[in-house]
Amino acid sequence: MTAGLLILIIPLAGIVAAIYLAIVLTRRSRDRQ
Amino acid sequence: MDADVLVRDYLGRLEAASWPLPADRRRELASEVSEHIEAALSEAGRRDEVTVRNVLERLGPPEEIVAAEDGTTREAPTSEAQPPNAVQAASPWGAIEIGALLLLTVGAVLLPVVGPLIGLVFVWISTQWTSRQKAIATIIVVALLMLPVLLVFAASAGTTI
Repeated sequence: MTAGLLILIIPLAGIVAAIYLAIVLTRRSRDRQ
Repeated sequence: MDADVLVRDYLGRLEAASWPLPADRRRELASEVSEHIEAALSEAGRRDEVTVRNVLERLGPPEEIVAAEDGTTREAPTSEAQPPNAVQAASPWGAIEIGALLLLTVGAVLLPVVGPLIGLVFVWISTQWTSRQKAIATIIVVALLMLPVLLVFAASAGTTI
């Protein structure tokens, strides 16, 4: 159970941060057009 | 942080980044960007920190403005100076940014913990995100990585009682 949660949460940390950073860059490139 | 301090800090970064440009073009660029910021702020009707941050974010990193300016100066040295809002900056998606996002996502699966941490190093190297955005991404990664550690502690505490 704990191992399953670890496998889910560890990649989730990077994925959530990556989504946030991708949104920032996408919004900026859209603003400049 | 005070809004005027943010503007001064931004213009200071612009001045520092614009060293490759001729002295007169440097002064012109600083004055154009400053005027542009003032115009955007009076258009917004507010000078609070959030508004200033938004205006500066829309302008993009000073290094990028200088890079675009440097390119236009080299390509057309006799052309009229472009106002900052007309500067066509390159796409913010560079190799470092794509590498950072891949390490944060695919890297997290292939190299748990280490992948996202290297991704964060790439994020901090990149000039495309502001320090605040980099800090938010770092907090997200660290907070979510700490969560399993807390879960393990909670689970072990539960079994020992």
